Amino acid sequence: MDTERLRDLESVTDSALSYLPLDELLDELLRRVVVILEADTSAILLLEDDGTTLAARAAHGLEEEVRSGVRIPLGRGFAGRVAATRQPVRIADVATADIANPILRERGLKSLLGVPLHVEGNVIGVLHVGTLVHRDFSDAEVELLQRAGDRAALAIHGRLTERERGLADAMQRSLMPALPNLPAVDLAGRYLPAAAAYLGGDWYDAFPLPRGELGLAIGDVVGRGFHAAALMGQLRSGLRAYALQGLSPADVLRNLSGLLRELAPGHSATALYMVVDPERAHVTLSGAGHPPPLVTTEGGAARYVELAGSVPLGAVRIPGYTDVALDLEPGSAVVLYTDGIVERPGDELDARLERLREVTSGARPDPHVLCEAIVAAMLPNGSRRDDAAVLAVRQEPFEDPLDLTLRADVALLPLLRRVLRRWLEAAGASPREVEEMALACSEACANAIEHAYVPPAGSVGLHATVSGKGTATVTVRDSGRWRAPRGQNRGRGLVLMKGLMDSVEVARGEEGTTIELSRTLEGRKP
Amino acid sequence: MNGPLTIELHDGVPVGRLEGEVDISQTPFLRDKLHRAVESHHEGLVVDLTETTYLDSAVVGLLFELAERLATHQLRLAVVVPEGGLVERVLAIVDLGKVASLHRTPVDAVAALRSPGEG
Repeated sequence: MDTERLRDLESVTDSALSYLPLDELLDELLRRVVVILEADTSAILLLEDDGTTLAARAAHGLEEEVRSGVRIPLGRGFAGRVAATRQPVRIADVATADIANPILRERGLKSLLGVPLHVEGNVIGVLHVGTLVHRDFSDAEVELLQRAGDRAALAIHGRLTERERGLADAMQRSLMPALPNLPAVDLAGRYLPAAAAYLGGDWYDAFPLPRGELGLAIGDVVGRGFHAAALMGQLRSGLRAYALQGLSPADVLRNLSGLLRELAPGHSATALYMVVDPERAHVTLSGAGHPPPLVTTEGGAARYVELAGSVPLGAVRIPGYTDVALDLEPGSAVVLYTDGIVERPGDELDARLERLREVTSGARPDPHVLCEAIVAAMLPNGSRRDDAAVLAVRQEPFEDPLDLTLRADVALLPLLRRVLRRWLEAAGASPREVEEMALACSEACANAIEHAYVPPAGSVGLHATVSGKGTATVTVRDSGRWRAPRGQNRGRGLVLMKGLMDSVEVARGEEGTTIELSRTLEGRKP
Repeated sequence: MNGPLTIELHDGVPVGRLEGEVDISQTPFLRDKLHRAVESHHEGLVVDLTETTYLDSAVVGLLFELAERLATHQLRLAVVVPEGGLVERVLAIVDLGKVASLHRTPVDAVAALRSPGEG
């Protein structure tokens, strides 16, 4: 009979099953186990990601266990004991045994047999069968269920890995932000997952700040897997929240360190946060145990920014982070990266850092070109032990004419004004002309954003130039249909534009509305 | 930090101080806060622009709106305007003086609201 049962067991994992989705596969496995062992119920509980809880995943004759979401702490009750001891557990009389899950008793089960599911030495769950009549499970039956369990474990593990990979991809994608499209600022980023681990802890972020600066962040959570990825997502959100309050980079990191200690005591992460002021081509940054960024100029000389030594986030209760300020030469770019770019087993870190500096020097300071060159040179098609990220930013050089495209979002107006002020100053406008003309242009853009668009918003184009006679002309164009300003308050935008410029012309066409603002610069009059 | 607006009571009068650049992206938040200040006090409102480096037509519109709202309660708006800057030029172009009294210091503005009959 046992030979016969063993043959039946083969059917538990035959190839016909391998094409079933995981849930259907488990249901079929459990159905067959019940038949072979002449039991009344069977169930599979799988260990959760946290490694301390078993959750009912599939059941036969005991479906309410799955429906009610039974969760058993490791070591407790019948299934908890099977997983904790990694040994089969036989219970002849449920009435007198330590059972954590009341459903087993309510169902009227008299005897139980459970075996651990393990893969590569790790317990991943528990398989158990139950009978409504008293039964003493024989050693042969224990072995039979264990063999069924071993086969089931392999099948489950394969499916879970596949599922985890799919989830990991989706999660990593959702955690990596789409870089914002900003006027006069060029951004590029690359995230490279590790070849073996499905989820890593590297991240970056870029966002406009309320006062018109640009915030850029990069970080690395120690560890891998869902926990590291989830923590990374929390830190990224936390950093953005602190940054949007207008805190300095060092203060942002100090807060973030405290947050990490709250969220995950004992965990460690590195991060670097940088604020770019496009008006003064000025950068303020601070690092928390993170490798230093590179600045590269149009002439092709890259150098590391000197950051004072700092502890990683979460390392000490009150970390002393400091802000470092630097001015950027026109057209230069800043490169941020994680240690996955520079750390490689068997190579000296200093040599790798020097290699990164050379590669950066040799590339045009265009963020997209830089990212490509760095990935190609530092991580050539090989298997990566660690994930890696690189983020590059450059303020586009100011030229005449100036052409900007602005996503139709009023939150970008402060940044737009900074860019315009810088351009107007370079064009020879006086401080008073700079602030008044920037205001008039901002009004024109706000008008285009607010009234010429039906959400979801598109974009607004701005074109600025100074004539030989010293007249600055700024044209703001949208592609929406003109709507009359609503009420008296909206009309004030036009009043302000007219009050601050020499001339304001509004052209409303089928294609959209164009506002042309011009004013002769005192200092540029021939 | 709580955005560019802080509201304090001076001699029973709410004084809203706006700092830095204030524009259309912040007006929904400012409108809410300032209207609440108007509703919960009965002494009028002072808006202090001493530390304001920039304001646009949306903020100007909000100031007109507040003045109208106060007028329906027989109350007044007093605005503190720094001398000789962008803010003063903007408020001159839109003629805010038509609906609000303009002052150089918060003390003057509060005193103006406290004195009956003026304005």
